[in-house]
Amino acid sequence: MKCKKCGAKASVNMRQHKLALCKEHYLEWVPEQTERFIKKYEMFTHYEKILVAVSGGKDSLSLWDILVRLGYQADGLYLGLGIDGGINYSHESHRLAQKFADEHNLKLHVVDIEKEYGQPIPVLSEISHRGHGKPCAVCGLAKRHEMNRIARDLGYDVLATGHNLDDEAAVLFGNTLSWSSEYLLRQGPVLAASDGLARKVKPLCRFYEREMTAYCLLRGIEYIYEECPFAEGSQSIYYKELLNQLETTRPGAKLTFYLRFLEARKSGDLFVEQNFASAHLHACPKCGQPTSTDDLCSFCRMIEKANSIPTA
Amino acid sequence: MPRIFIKSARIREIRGCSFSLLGDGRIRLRGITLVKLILRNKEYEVKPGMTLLSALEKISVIPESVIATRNGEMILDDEILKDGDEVKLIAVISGG
Repeated sequence: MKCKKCGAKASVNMRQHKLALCKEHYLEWVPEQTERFIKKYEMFTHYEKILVAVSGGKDSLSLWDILVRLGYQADGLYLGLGIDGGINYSHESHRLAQKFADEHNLKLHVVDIEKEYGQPIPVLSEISHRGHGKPCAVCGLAKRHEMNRIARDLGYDVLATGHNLDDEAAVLFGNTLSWSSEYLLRQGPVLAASDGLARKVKPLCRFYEREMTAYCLLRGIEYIYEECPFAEGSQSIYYKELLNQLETTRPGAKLTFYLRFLEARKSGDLFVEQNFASAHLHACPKCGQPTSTDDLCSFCRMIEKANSIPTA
Repeated sequence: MPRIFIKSARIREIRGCSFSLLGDGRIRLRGITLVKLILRNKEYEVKPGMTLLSALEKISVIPESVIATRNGEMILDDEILKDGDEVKLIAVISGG
């Protein structure tokens, strides 16, 4: 297969675009497309400070690399979750995130959940009894809380995450299966800022996971190859595999599924925003972040419970 | 190198092997060569001469879920796999 631009041997074939590119042109194409999506969805400008949530994985490191190449002011935030799983997962992911930051002379903020709040994520999960034996629910709660806290406290205009098309399509698929209209109404490339909540954007939302892996490999970016040990058997991975089976026989199916959803929602053909009684939000008395609960936010309540249990 | 003396002239092919006919009618059997595909800690073997896509179908790996490299270079679905190739399959699906 030949590169469509120069005729050299192609390194990446994107069947959904009927486009094959060599290494050189692929590494040009990805940032060009990212810039196009940033502008199309009005995610941010070059004058704004961007905080990139970096996990040490291929998507977040690729995102950071692309934003820096495009000339954006982008710093990183790494959250140490304290997950070992027999493979020293958090330690290794931190090492790779820091390595990338050091090699590119970039600023990486690091928050260690255990140092900050007294317990790592797996222990917080056990104590709080959230998540049916897996720490994913607690992990998500902690990440959202901390990403917003750091973005707010350090004056960043926007928080960027490395969610790719496969992530978005899997979430959309799951929400469609259960017709979770509240989530369907909120899903998209941009979540606008509101009182106490930073704007959140997903600049890679139209790239396939396979494309981001190719980007990392061709750029020589070292990322954590192992998955989170708690991800095995997760619903999102199952949905991704199903969608990839579909994509194999119907190239472009995932992209069409996501993009047509965004169009249909925007046009009003899909949903009528009923009188969702917007949750009345107030500032959590402990951390100041917006919450719909009467007292402490879910995160602070979980931490308070964890700290009230005497340690052996 | 093993030497196998085959008397019957009916044997035309030995599966998975290459061999040469010696001048005195003996056949020298060369080492068996296959293509190795490695995905995480699992190894698979297929015959050389097929495309990467065919090889993935044979081992029931969804092409959309992996990127293949050979000698550090990415290869595409239409690449013909040769004797002795070692193809590393990088899983692209991530969670967590």
